[in-house]
Amino acid sequence: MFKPLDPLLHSPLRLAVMSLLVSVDEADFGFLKEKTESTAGNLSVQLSKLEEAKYISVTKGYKGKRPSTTCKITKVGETAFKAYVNSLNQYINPIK
Amino acid sequence: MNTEKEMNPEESLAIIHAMINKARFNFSRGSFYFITWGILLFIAAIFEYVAQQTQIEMFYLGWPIAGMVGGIASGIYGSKSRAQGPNTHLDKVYSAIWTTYFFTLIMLITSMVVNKINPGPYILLITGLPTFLTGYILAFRPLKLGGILFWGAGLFSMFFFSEFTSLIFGAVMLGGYLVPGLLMRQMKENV
Repeated sequence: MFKPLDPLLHSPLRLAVMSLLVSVDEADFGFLKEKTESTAGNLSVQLSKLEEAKYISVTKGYKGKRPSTTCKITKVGETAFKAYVNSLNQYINPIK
Repeated sequence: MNTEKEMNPEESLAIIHAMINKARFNFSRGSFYFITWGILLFIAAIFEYVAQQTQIEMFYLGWPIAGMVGGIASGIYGSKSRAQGPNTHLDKVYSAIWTTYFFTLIMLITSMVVNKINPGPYILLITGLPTFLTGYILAFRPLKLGGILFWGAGLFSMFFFSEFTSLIFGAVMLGGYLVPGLLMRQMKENV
């Protein structure tokens, strides 16, 4: 029996963001925008959705005089990401 | 990137793979340290050899100068790098390996100098460890060979040609640090 894929993660941009955040301590908005090749507006909306689900934490502050937004994956997000990858593996290798 | 596009499992895995690769260890960033320290320690080693041959009393002066210049350069470069991109989990592993090596090195050099023992061969031996480990984790053969070179040269200079330890040290800096560093820099970022 296939487990349903988490709809919050089953979206290209949100999945890309979570895959980046799972690899680093934390990342700022500029880094995520550059690596995902997304627009600032779109990325901002998707980050809000992930934050609402408590998959990531978003901290706003200043780096010097410039405003900065830093994102970090949470324990809830890590667990959801692992479960999503496990489900994907089930779809791809159904015999295992 | 399309936000709500329908994806099949293969496409999802491809995104995960691509993004994790983009956040991997940055080879060109890492090469800075090997190139800088390779050049500085090579110069210090050659200076020591020439100074000993020409009876200059403060033949050891190259080492603290190289250490200070390298430390300052690494510190400045490290803080600039952190501003350019986030720390990956692998970055933390490398940082832990090289920081613990640094403290071991300081303790080793201090105790050997106090006991009037030439620390050169021992420095070479312990430098093989972080160099080889870094090469192993990165799956980067030139660094693994560099680590083996440090071990081999350490053992060699322990038993043979101790008067040439500085020269051996200098040569190993080229093969163990500088050459792998230059090869790292040639690699595309985030390969």
